[in-house]
Amino acid sequence: MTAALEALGEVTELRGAVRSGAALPLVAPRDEDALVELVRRARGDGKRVLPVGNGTSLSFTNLATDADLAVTTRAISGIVAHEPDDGTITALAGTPLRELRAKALAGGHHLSPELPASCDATLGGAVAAGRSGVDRLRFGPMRNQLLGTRALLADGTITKSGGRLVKNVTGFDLHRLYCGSHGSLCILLEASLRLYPAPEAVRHLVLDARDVREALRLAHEVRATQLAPWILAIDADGPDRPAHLHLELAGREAVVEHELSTLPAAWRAAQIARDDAAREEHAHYADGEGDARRAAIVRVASRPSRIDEVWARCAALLGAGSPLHFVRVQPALAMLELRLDPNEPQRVADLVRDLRSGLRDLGSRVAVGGDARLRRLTNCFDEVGPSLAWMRALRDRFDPHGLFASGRGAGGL
Amino acid sequence: MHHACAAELRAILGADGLVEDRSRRTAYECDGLAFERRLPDLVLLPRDTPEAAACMRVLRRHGVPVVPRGAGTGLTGGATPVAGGVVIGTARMRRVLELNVTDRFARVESGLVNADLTRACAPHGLFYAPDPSSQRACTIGGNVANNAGGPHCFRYGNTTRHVLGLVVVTHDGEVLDLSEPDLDPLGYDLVGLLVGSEGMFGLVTEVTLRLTPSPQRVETLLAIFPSLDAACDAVSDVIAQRLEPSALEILDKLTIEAVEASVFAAGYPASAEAVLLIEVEGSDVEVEVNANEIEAILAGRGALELRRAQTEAERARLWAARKGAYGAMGRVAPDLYVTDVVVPRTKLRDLVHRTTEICRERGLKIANVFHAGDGNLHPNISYDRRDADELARVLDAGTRIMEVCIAAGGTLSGEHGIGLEKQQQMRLYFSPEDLAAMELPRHVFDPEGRMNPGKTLPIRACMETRTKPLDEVTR
Repeated sequence: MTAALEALGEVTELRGAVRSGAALPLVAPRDEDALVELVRRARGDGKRVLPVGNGTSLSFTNLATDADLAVTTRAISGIVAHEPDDGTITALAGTPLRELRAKALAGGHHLSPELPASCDATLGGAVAAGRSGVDRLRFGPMRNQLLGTRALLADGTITKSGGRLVKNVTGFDLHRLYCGSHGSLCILLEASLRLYPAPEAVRHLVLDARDVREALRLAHEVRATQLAPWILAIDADGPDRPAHLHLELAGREAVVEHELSTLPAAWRAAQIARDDAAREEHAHYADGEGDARRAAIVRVASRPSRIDEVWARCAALLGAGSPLHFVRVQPALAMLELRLDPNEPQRVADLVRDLRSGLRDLGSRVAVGGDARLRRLTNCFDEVGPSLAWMRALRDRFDPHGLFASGRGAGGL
Repeated sequence: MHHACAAELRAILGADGLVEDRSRRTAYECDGLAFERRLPDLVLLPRDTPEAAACMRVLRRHGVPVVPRGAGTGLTGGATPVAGGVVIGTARMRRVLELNVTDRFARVESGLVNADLTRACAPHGLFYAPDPSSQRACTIGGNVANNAGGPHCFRYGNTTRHVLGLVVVTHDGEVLDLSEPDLDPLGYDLVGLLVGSEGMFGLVTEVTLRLTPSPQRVETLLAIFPSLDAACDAVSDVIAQRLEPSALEILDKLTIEAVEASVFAAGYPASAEAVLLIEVEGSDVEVEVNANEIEAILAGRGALELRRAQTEAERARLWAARKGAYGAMGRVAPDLYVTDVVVPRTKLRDLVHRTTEICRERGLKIANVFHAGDGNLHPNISYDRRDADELARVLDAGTRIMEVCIAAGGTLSGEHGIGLEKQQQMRLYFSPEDLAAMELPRHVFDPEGRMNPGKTLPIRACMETRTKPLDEVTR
């Protein structure tokens, strides 16, 4: 079997992706034809395929229930079309987002989602994972940037959805369905993203606060203004530890300077980094995005009006001696991220259970990422609810013979 | 329709919730695509989601086709009951169910008129961004069905970027509640799939919508150009310079003449070949910086005159004229065929030129009023539907425009949807495999093919519902 796979592309090994703990052969087809051939053979042989990009989001998904081989699109890479004057970019699925970002910047544009510079995510992987970036507050989630896709379906056909234009309502938005489907409906081959003007000036401010609670109060003051920051986030090492409130303003030079002058009085005490220094601060902040391969990450999503209460309950549940290393709260997005000791998976799993029950009445969602030990102990996602039946029906319709490995997404999808 | 079915529906809705009288039903035989009509067997007007669900269960039992309808302002025949059956209107479902100012969302019934939502949240410093020209009449549910746009979608994006949740009554009467405004979908993005599905995946009864903070200041600029080409080039320059106004709209000479002769007259100079209406918003400084740079570009492209609206009343007049342009075209001919295509913004000038030529070659009157910033063209063809020959030329021109735009890297629709009008032209843009993939969710949400049958997806011989292609309607 290995020889047959090697004829289609490089074969390595993928560990920590399936519940059985087995290592999977990981095939990187050299081009689309080889990928189509691989899928055709797998279908004929009754093998189950686990699609991945570069595996950077795997730690935020459940272990697949069964798979015979993994396939990565990382060798199917390259920019297909970059239209700087139309503000769009199209690339093959295996193209590193980092490369796309550099290309967009050379054309005067910002590419969203912005992932940490150290992240090896591919375009296809980021779309399939529905991965958003540190610029989400300004530009929204990944699904808002996605203009269209080409995808390989389980029956071997290659299909298009959407297109490459910034405005397009032609046909059903299947690309929205694929975004965040974790490779359970198709293998993405290509995607088009909209681009945004790159900022001329950047100001990165850090304001120290006594603790997260005080920082939340300061953040709410900013949210009540007309400002549209790129970043508004609180970092702290624990519930009772000093907190640092990050605020980033970016855009036209004169506009950003004016915005600085309108900040609430408390910000007079902030450290302000400008332009190159601000970009360094930004990169440092972005690199601090939780990596579930290095820590256990718990993400709680709620509503802005409930974030104080969510944090208060989290802090109470964490308690003294908790395995918490770090917390980041984004009040305007109502998102809270806890980074915990990866070597205490049982304690983290218990905390996730307690958070899910303790925050249910606030309508919060709790997701968790980490290594295989942790993901064996807990579900990475909340329960889906009655709409799961419709999702399963969609999955069965797109992949009636179960070619694509299941179990990674919410609800066992 | 079977008497027993009508009686069951009457028992659910009461006499006021049913339109049985033939003359009243004629109001529902088409939408803005007036040359394709069919009388529905019955019109249902439920008051809320449970009533709608009860009706859907009855209709399923009797195997009756269902056509959801908002205000009927659509322009592609999406609400025309081509296969008969019932039309379910949302006219009695107009409540704002929740207005959450802190979290900036609203939960509304799908029959709420678009402009009424902004009216409801304006006192709280918020607005609902998608603003179709018909926003004083069109409903949120209709906007969701078509993934509607509008001038300010240049900055804010189409409806799909503003829909946080939905309540949908499925083909069998189940209530699928996806209304919680979660940060990310849990599982598949059903909401993203349902928006723009033109009523073929279910009846949307409630919508959770993102509200946007009202800008501190808005400046409306008007640039008068000696040619349509120059106006198009100015727009391409603004985009290429990475500037970010909130709206970039072009009106050509015929449109200006029609508007200025109508109740929407706003002082557009009748001598202009084209005007460019631009809106810039943000803080005082942001508005000044952007407006000054945009004005420099406009001057560089030969604008004859640049104006800024001096008062809120003047600004409102300029926009009323833009949004009333379709109505004003009624002075030119009894009917208006509004084409909706999108082209790469780098090719705006050439494609506006080409679409105009296509109409002139066929002896048709064309007026252009369009969302230039998005590359979303609306070549509007004035005609008289009683003239079969003229109607045939209109449809031929419409098809040719779509072909030319697609060949240039464009697409079939930017905001109006496909409906009946562009159903067959879907084959120009999508392969048979692409279309087959779109059938997959349709079979999940509508296995019996009763939800708005005969729309969007091109008809194949084996399909359960047949309608005549539009070019056969005229024969």
